[in-house]
Amino acid sequence: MVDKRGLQSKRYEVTAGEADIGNDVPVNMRRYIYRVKVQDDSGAANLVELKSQLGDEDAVVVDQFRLVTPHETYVDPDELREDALPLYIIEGSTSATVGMSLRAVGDGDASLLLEYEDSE
Amino acid sequence: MDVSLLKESHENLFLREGYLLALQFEQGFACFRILGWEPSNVKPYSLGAVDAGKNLAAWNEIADTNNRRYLMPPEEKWIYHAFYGVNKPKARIFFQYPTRQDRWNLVAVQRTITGDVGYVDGEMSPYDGPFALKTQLFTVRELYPAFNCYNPLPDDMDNVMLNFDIMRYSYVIIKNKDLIRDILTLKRPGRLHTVAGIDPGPAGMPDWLSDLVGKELLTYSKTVIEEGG
Repeated sequence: MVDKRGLQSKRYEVTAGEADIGNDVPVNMRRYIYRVKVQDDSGAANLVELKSQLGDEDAVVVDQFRLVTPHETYVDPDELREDALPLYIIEGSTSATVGMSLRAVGDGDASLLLEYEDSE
Repeated sequence: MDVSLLKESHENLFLREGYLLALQFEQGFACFRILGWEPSNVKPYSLGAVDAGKNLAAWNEIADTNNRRYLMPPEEKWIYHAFYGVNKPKARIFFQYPTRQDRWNLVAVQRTITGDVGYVDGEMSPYDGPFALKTQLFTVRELYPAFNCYNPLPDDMDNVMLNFDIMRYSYVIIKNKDLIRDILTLKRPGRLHTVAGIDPGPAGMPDWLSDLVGKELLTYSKTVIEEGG
């Protein structure tokens, strides 16, 4: 169940260089991502990757978004229902000294919007 | 993410005319008969923005713009009975009652106000209710709590809000020793409540109330509760 009072809505700029987006998932919690919107800003076909990374381990691809048409927008789901299940669950670290971060990269510039909630 | 499923609505815990109430203070029990009731509420009460990983800089005594405390009866003839819910779901509300007396400790050292111990959040006591039993408060004139908030998330909370459901009671103080004994030994149905908590002890009774109850009855109530009358 989505708790609208705990839902966060954040937009990130994605570039061709892989980089952190947003904040680490809180320790002993999980990030429940309920809705994603990806928009190409490069004016060309684009492949955007959402990744997670625990500490300094290798980043893991959570999902890929292929935008074939320039300036194409991908949204899932179109409408966020109250009884929706999360699209992605990113598990936070169990140690305060190791963070679980989200990263993103594209073939070119893109915008990424996530609606999520951090909870146990 | 999911709100707690609580078994009973807090509204069932409000008292009605004729109900018997015994409030335990540091000095002993004061026993009351409820004469009348009137509902009220404060919604929303804003604690303001709380930065990611931070708590409020100062304790909040839940007051209006003229510093009149919502949770303290303005006159001695009333008792307030309150419950509250929390928004945001992850906002952790810490509690002092009376002010400067930290409550809800667990281990030998005092709980912090940035930790995982001794708080109520919006999942435990949802903003729209039903409110958790843990949030139950009885207040009398000159006795009121204070609240702080901790944001455990990496995102700022734009506005942490509380929703207070408050019942005001008029009352008469019970001076009949037989009735006091029956209330405290549970022979008569009544509500017994320890004001503020047990660590390090219940709240001290305000002087005006201890004068009304009288030292003899306070001592008697302690004898009854310890020895069963």
